[in-house]
Amino acid sequence: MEDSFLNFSKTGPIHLPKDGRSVVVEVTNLLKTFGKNEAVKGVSFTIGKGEIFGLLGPNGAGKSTTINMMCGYLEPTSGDTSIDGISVAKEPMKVKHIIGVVPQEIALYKDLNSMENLEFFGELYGLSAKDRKERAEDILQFVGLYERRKETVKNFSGGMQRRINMAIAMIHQPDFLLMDEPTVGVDPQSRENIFDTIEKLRDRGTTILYTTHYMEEAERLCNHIAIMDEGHIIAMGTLEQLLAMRDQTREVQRPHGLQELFIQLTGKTLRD
Amino acid sequence: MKNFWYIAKKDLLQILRDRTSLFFLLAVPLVLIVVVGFAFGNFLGSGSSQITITVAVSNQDTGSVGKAIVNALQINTDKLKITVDQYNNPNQVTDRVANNSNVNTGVVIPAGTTDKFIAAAQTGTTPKNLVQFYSLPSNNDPRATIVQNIVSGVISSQLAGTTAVGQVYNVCNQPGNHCAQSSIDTQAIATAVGQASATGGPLAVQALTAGKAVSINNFDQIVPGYAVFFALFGISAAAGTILQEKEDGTFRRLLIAPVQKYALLGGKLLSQFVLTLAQLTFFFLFGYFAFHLHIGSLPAVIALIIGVSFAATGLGILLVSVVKTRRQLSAIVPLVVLVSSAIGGAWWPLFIEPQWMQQIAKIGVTAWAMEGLNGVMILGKDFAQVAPDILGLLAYGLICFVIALRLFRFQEKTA
Repeated sequence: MEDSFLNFSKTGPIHLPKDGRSVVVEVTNLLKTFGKNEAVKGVSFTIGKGEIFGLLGPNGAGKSTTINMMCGYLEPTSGDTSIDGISVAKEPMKVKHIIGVVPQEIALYKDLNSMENLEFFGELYGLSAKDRKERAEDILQFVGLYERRKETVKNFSGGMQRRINMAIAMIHQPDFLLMDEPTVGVDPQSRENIFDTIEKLRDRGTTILYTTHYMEEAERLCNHIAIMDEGHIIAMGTLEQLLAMRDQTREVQRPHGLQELFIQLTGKTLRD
Repeated sequence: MKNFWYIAKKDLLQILRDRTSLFFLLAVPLVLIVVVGFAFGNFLGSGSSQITITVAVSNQDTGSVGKAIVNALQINTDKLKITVDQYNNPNQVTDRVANNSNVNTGVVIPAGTTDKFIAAAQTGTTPKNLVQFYSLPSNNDPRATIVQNIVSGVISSQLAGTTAVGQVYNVCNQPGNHCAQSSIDTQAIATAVGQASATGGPLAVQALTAGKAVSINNFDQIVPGYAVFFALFGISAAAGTILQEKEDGTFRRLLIAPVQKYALLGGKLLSQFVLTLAQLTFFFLFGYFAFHLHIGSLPAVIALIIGVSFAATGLGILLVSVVKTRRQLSAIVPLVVLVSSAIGGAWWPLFIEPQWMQQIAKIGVTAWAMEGLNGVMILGKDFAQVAPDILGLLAYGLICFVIALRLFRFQEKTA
């Protein structure tokens, strides 16, 4: 095991090794303060092309703030993110064209139908009318909602709305997709559909950053995983490397997976 | 720049989908305009320029003065119609004035008024407090002033007559003059001189016209006033959609998309501008076809409607930049709109307000709008004359938008 791959230190940035991956996303010393509150305390990591990178952590760990800075929604106090070699701080508009964000909340125009929602965002990304229509129909097929494309979104179930929520982020076929807890509150069928969609995207070469509270999701989907707590990344590596670390750091030898490591690292104290 | 239109188009589509809100956006103001228009039918004359006055008169005098006053009050022209209700008992006159809203003033001519005039003429004195004029306390009704001026005019002419009689007596009493007392008919001399002074003046004046005729239709005030009032209330819808988007998370989604901040606010402004413009146009067209609204200069009215839509929208965006929640917005919008409408002339013509209030009212959109619309539709002003109001409205909207752009919180300052 490479020692530099895993790090429990809460005092400084952690760097992934030069392991031959083709790096698409490079996060460097991202720091964000709100008044006296340091929400993210100098986070660094890289994501290779076509990877699904899991960003895990309890509530308030700084995951969403990190995503908000990576996509240009929040201006970092210091640090930067580079996507395909383009700096978010210097060229935010350019970056916004090549990334997609699936927000944690269901952010849809619920009195419009799913085609209208998709086509509206397609317009904002500069797609032609023909492309907008074709891509919207393709994506709706992709997420299994093509037959209900003309129904008002407010009539959809929570799971269906989640799928449209994700579909919107894909309308412009981004190279890099940031997914902030995309499966919150959905039934097993919709969750399975979302997983299938993510796996198909990965197979097409889309790079994904995925945050979740469900460890089994991270185990199933993610090539690399980082665990955040209190604004720091406290552990990072492949699933195998993290599980190996669990076995080395615990006295009780039981193979209970990522969940056990997560609790071991972040503790059992309730987070609000 | 296309994003401006895409965001506006999406907002308009959402509004069109909400048919119930759209119905109330148009129907409620329409009902109010019709009800208020008919309720205040006589406020500005119901389309007629004739002023109508009812006067209660008790003439106890048997001489020429009493008759002259009653005759002078009985006017019926295309501009002024005075109805004289005569009563024997003076107390009936005061009762009518005090208790009957249709009677505007009362006049009591006591017995012996003519004799007292003549006696005063012979002694060279001026009679005082002979004819009594009644109106309600603190009454600013201009119709009372009209009646008082007519009565005063008659008395002046009668005084001129009796003064002439006095002069005749003086001449006859000079040494060497021989006037037989019986040959001097004082009443005839006084009446002749009085009539000459009463009728000679008006005949000597030639009535001419200059400029365009001003025809005041009650709806010329009610329709634009309430249209502007409800257009301002519509700003809560514009501001509300932004706050709604913030609450729903779609605003964040728009900020993550490649949309410039000014385009985002501009798109919101454009949709509300189009909606307000459509709303105002609908009310004016309705007023024109249903109530024969007097439009005056069409280009000026169109420019003013565009100006009002722009200013109201700018104000809406400004308000949303200073509030955080829809609850705060729903508290502040009525306050701003009601105060602005009350002092800005939405419910009554701005030009009847004191000058200082008209100036203070300019802090609101309504005053600029109503000064221009009253000017064109009631006072017959042309485009150039209301250009300051049009420019004022455009500047108002622009200033609001620039301030809003500086104050607007695109991101919440929390994690």
